[in-house]
Amino acid sequence: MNRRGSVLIVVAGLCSIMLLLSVTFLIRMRADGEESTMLIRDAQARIMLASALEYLQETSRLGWRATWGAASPLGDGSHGYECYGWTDVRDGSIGPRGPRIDNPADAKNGKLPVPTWWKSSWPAYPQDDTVDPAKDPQNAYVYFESTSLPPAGNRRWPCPGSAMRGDMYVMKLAPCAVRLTTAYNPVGANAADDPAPVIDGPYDTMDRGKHRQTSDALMTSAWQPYLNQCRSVDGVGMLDPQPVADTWTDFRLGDPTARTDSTTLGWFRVYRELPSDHDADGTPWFDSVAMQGHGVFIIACGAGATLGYRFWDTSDPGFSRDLEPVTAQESGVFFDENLFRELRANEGILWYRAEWTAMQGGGANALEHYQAAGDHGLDFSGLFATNGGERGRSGWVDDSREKLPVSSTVASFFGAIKWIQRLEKDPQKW
Amino acid sequence: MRVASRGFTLIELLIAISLSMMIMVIAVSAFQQATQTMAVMNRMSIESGLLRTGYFISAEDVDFWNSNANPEYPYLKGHTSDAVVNGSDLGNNLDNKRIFRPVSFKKAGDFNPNWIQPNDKRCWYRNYFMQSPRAYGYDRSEGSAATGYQAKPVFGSSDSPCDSFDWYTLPIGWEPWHIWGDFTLVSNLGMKERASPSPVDLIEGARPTLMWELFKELGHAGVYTYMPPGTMNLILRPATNNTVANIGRPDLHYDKGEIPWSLTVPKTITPVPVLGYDPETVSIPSIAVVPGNVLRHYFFGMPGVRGRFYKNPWEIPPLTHAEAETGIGNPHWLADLEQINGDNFWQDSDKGWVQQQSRVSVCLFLGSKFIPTDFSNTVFDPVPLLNRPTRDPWLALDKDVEHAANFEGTNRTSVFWRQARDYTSTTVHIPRNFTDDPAPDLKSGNSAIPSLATSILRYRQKGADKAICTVRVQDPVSGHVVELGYALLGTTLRGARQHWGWKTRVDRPSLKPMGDIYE
Repeated sequence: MNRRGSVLIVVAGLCSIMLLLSVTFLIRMRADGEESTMLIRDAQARIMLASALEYLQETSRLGWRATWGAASPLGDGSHGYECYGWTDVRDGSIGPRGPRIDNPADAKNGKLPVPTWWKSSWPAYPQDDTVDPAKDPQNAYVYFESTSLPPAGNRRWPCPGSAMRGDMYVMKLAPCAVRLTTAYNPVGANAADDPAPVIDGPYDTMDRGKHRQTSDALMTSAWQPYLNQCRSVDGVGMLDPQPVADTWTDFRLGDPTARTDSTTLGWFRVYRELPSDHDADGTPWFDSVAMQGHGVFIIACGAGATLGYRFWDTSDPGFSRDLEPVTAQESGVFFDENLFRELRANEGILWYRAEWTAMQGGGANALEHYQAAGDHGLDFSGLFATNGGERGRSGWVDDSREKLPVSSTVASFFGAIKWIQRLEKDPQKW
Repeated sequence: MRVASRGFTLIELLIAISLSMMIMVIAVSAFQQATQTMAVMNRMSIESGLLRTGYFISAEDVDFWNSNANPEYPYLKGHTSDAVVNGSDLGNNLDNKRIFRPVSFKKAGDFNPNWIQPNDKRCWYRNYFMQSPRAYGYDRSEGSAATGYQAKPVFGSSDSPCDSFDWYTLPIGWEPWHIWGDFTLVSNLGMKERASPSPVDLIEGARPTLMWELFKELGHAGVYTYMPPGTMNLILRPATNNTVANIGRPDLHYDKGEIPWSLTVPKTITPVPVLGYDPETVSIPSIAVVPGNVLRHYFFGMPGVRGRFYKNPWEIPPLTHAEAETGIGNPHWLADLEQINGDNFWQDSDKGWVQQQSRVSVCLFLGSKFIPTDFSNTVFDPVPLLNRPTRDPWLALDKDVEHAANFEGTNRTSVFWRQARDYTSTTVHIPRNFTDDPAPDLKSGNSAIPSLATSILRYRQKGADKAICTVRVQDPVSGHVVELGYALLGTTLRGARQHWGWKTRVDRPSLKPMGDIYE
């Protein structure tokens, strides 16, 4: 019997067309997805910019404590425990440097210490801890790259001319992590502990003293459960914020293990510029502004999975130990070179320059000078208390309305970022 | 036996046709549905693509300030770096401070904002120790320019027991220091006039000179951008002449350690730009009212031979604007003062006098666009807004808003949207239009392609340059609008000026000079 397959042919044709459309659609969706990935990478890189700037702010003062000194979780004042900025606010020297030596047995007692990160194998740290009459009258601090710093190839972060790598991920539990609850109830709610029936006992009108004694006893016993809660059991007492970890050691150490869903997303690298990088001589290409101090940095913001490693091995163009003390190959993290280079090729990288300054305006630690505006406490409003004014008051702490204006006050304990500049092309040093 | 083949019966044929039709209908409808879905998805894909494109355009805008600086199409913002010359003044005017105009800093010398380091004693604020005079301002929330405004003390409230010892009770013929003492002896130590600096001790005038030069070059935006966070917005002067006897003698620079004089009206035409502190280039009034100072800043206690101030403490209002100008009543000293941080004040029912905007929020809008001056969007006046960011960024806002305008508060009010209208730069990229075109052509492109526009609103607050971005995609057929809004961290104004300084002098010298250069 002859069968005509016209219907089948038509249906098959239609199915083919639909299949073709579907494939086209899927390809389009995939392309859209890939393009979206580029957008996500750009956004991720910009998040890394914020991270890098915060890193610079925090490490301008923290993170350089001498591990060989007496340690205490409460702070021991050892060398580098709390520093004075990338450009030391005291003498303009290369920071971060710790507080003055406070040890009568030390021959340099009272002097500024050598930075803890300054290696003993390097040239002598260019000391500036005595008043030098021949010093620059502006207290500026000038040094020579060729003689004051270790030679190129031997510089390590945070020495000028070196770079650091910041692999960004979220720890399972950050050190000193506190709970996110914003307002704690100091006592737990337990209906059985309701003191009202006890407190509201009959009033003994015949003997006020006795009643008072009874009442006092009742009050004490009635509130005791709540006091117990506050101190121990259910409540959190007056400890706010509350630590996440239960023991002091766990609280301090946290769990630095990375959360798996936060790895291989972003990184940043920071290069600390040398004076020759910002003397406005046109070399490197971006060097058109004559900067001073030691707080100018190049920030590379990356979105991708290279963990911030820049060079596969020492033969890569532009390699320097100053920039990469441990190469990607030496790290052993990557399976092979092809994988690393493919990861690098798929990354998005943005380059910025930024300058850190110790100047920040009012902060909570400067309460005696920076009063609040209005009557609602410190609000970092950018006002500076005047010296009294028309009301005949004296002293720097004054009525909140009598203020001199301060511009651009930054609510920060770690200095501020004076400016940020996107670099249009690869700055080479990063 | 021959079996005769037979055809379909009619019933079979009907059934077959019906089934075939059913299959065809299903198939065609499915196909149609699929193609429609494809079309919708394709359109969504195009929209998504445009949104992504818009994001990248605005991200680049955040970093390179194209909408504020780029002189090339489609941005066409060359006017933000143009010199402003009014008549024969050779640019010696307050408007010649557009935010991307070329500025030549010095690698060595005072006019270099980079020596401001906390370890450098030149940058320390040398306060004027004389107790502050009680400032009076005009409350523009009460009255009008025609009838006058009520003058009120800026700080404090009338219930202060110390008010009886206030300046407005200063006896005629007395000077402030007769009561408070001559604090100039311990004020502004080490500062000297510009004409007599010591090459060894460069304290004198370095910081105020730098601030003054920044103001002369770039106005408020310059001071707020180049001076580091925490800078007091007072340009100190040497306390060389602090007695009322010298009122009316600008050469003696009567002041209290700041630059109090009108920044609106330059005193003389200066053919050659003068570097360094040069009070002769600004107006030092011999009278209280300086013509042209429309901002009407008066601070009690400043010199002014006509600036007599009358106040009867038992009457309310104590003084009107008109009375102050005519100087009726008991004479007290009043000056025409335009602070670098100048702003007017409003009286809160709970807090007393509060300064608007600048002191409370320190927010500086950095924008420039052509805006309509009428509701029908037919008349455009670009000049005021071009100059506002550097000239008087906050006063521009104050003129628009009611007295209770706090920036944080106005974020949530219509005031903010008016600011957004005035200071947001918008570019319609598809179809192609130039930035801030008041009437962009939306019909010239492919009607099947959605339009794409990006916007950016910039302001500086508490030491941070902030950029609020918007990407808007609109379907020309359905009118469907997809809009993304976000804030990005990126290049600051100073960073952008450095970028354009390099771009126009090194990378593409064919462009006209813009931004910063160091000589």
